[in-house]
Amino acid sequence: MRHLRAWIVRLCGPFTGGPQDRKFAEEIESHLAMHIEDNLRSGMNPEEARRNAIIKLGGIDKTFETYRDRSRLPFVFDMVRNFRHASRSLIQTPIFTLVVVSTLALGIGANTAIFSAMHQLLLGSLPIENPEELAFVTTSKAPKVGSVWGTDSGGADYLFSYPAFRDLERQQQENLAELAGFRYTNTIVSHQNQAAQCRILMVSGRYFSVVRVRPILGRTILPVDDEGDGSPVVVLGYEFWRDRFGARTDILNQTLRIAGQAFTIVGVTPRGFNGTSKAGMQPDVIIPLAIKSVPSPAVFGAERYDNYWVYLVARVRPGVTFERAASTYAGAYAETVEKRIQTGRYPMGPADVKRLRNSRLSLVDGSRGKGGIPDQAESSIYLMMACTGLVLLIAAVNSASLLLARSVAQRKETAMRVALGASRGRIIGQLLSQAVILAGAAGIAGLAVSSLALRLVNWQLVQGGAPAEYLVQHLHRPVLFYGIILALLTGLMFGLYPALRSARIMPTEALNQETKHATQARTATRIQRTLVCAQIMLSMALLIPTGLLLKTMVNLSRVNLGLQTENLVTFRISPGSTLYRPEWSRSLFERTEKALAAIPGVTAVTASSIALIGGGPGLRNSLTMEGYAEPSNPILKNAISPGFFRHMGIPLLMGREFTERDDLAGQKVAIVNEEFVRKFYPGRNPLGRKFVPGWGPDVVLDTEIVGVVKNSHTLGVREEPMPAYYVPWRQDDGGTMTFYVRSSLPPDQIIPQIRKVARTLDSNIPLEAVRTMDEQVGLNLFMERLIFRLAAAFAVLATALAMMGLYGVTANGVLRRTREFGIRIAIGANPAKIRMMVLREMLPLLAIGLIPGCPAALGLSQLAKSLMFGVTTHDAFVTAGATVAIAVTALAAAYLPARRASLINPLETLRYE
Amino acid sequence: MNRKTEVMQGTLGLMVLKTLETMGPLHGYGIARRIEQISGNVLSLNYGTVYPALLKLEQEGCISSEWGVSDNNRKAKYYKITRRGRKQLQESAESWEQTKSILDRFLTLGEEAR
Repeated sequence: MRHLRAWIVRLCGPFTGGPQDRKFAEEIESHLAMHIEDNLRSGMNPEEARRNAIIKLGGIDKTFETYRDRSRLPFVFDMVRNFRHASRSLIQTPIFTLVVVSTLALGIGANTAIFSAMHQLLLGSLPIENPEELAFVTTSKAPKVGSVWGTDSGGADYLFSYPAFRDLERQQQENLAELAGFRYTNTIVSHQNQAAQCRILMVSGRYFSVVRVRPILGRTILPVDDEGDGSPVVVLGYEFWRDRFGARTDILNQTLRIAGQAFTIVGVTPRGFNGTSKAGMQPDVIIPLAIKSVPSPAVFGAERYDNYWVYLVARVRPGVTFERAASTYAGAYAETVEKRIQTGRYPMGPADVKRLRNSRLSLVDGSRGKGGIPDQAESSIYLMMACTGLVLLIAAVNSASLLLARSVAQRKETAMRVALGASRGRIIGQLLSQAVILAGAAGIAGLAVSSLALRLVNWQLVQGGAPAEYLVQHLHRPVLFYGIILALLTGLMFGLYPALRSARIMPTEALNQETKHATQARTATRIQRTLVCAQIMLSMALLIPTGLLLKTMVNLSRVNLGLQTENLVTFRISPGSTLYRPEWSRSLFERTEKALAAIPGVTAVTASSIALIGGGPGLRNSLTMEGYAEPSNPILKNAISPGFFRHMGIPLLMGREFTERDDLAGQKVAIVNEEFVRKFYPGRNPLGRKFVPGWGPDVVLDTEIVGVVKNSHTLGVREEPMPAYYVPWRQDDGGTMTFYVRSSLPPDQIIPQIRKVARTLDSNIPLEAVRTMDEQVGLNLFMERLIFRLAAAFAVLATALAMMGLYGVTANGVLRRTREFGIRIAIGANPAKIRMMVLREMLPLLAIGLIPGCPAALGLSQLAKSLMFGVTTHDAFVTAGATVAIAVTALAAAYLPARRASLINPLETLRYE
Repeated sequence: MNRKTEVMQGTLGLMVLKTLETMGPLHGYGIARRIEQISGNVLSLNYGTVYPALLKLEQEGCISSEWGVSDNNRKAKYYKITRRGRKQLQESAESWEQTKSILDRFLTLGEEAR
């Protein structure tokens, strides 16, 4: 209690310091006066009396010091004083402070923003209970011969056939893991005459107990719903429930139509339920897996061991290794393999049979989820991570060299303070507090920058038309923490070295000897030069990938799509995902074409089953062809309208286009592209030859080639020419069709008219992806453009920072050698020669920085590889360009100090120092 | 070094309190002189060290101070023991007595064994 009281009084000491010191001075004064009086009385002379009194006291300063230490907590006081001193001296040099703080803030801000994105998309565990127990089931290297229907929930290794899943599910012998199957698909969901294309998640009965998600309303899908052919019950996703039902709680037992069939609503999942995908895969509705035939009978209907479409997820019991859990399924898996070999409709070669029998079932970490993010986006995020890391590094290096330069400039002041008795600890403490203040300010500013950067990234995403789920919602709290730690570490890192160096200062050296001063300053300069080399290297490492991306963008913008995309509006309808039968769909397509063509100002209307340049996977079929014994590799198929090639500007090379008479009643016809001919009928006339999709003993070649067209891009801008065949949609069963409306009217006038027309045809079929064709092409390149812009921003930032560093070093060098230059000028060196001297000194820095920069850039470019187009990672032109860019900016940065050196007045330098 | 002065201050505080208890209100110089006298000039005391000790006691609330006028008409700061200080003095004195008697016993024990 007594001690606590004393401690509190002392803690307040620094703030009541002034008056207390004065009072004590008075007390000591009176003490000495009394003592001197006594001494005089005992017979000393005045001089002696005074001396004796002071000696007896133990020195005035010493007394003051111990008194002061007692009146405050010395440690706190020192700290407060250090911070006060440091902030005062920082305020005295506002430009220095501003430069360091903003440099670091940019680095920290960019890092925090990108880390938030990365955390949200890649690193975060699934927001479910004990995610580390979750595993995905995979079969490595098992050949999947048959129909393989993958999604981004995993590659072919993760796909199982429906009967195989049920066989494995029944396998519960040791109960080490709980197994569930799931599958995403899209179909039309309607409620009270409002229809929309929705994301459906089909799950097996145990799914919700595996992911441990509890409903916020009603119940989830239960094992009983998943028996036999499944019960028509549906659980709503939170967002769907909120948006479509206004989050009403009385929706249980209401009816929802999925693909035309009535389902009963039994529950609602909690907000943010994403299945087991990383991001952006919130299901709108969830239905039992057993009722799979409803959304897509063609894909999910066939219960065959060679029809692969189910994904498996397992929860492993705590304490059980994945290997152990997987081994309990080995027997059941081997049985499914045998069943596949015996009952599959697609024949397997002996090599495939052997590989299939050798394949093993294994469990892989599922804690972070899978799917929802395209691979390209993933590698882009890693690239951005690397870029921001480099920028932060440059920022730190820059700040370090600025602080170092400052500590050299402050040598005299420091030496003076050492001479006056300041302890080393205090000098170090003061420089460190300077660094901590800078880092702290940079940390705070960095957070502001990061939220701005996040907004910028999101804005870019929105501009590019990215789905809302990709937007990064907020700075992640651990990431904020990371940002602050980063700031402090940077501060300590770049503060410690100058601090330790300054503490070694011998006051006499620094104060008296110009020569010694020079040698010490030269050591500092050497370090500074090393730092500049590092900066140049890092800039180079960023500039080269940016150059490669720039070249990619140029190449992509120059790609000839083989299509006329101007004045074209496109949209899609998918009647096939309702209960529409193919003939109804065909009739709807026909009426839509007619109605669109009747809109005033519309010059042409055409349609295709594949959305051109839409980035989709496209449908491919293996063909049995005249003149070939073996079926071909899968070939892209597009079902189109008559006049498609004419309207899209694709030249017809041979034969004819389709007409409206090419319907089910007529001969089956097809048009193929140049690449198809080059591959299958090189140098021969393809017209009149016949083929058929599929193979087997009973197929009949019934489709006749009636035309050949030039190659054109179908799926995306980056696509290489590939064989493709076109059929008339009137002879096809496709359930989805993309229309193209060419009109001289601006899009904002024509789009409302299209919507109006579509409503009159069938209000249950929603229009999807309504946009101009140019927008569609832009969307296709969205990721490339975004990454390019970000990388360019980082590269410019990095180069600017490096150049600032270079300028600082050169300017510092010139300042140090002022006298030397003055003498040179005095004895007749001309200004141009002086300028060259300064610039020449910079060249080795440039060279040493640039050379290791190249391999560093190569490493970074590897990350960007999937984004590149028409360039290799070691493109000579780009490397040369980056080198020249750096060299030119470096010269510019060094020129100013060089000029100053050449203008030195020799008379003034004699007075210098 | 630090530790040594701390120990010094511990006993110094006790001496200061005892002085103030027996002498009544007194200024720093007077306290220092008095301690030196009582110790029979055996203790070589820097008068300056009395002041941090006084400050410590004041921070702990064992003494209070006010400015007054000395016998020779000089302005001086007078220290006075408080109630808390008397209690503290009593406790410290008892504890010192105890320590002393234990040490005494030990030392005499050592003599007997020899």
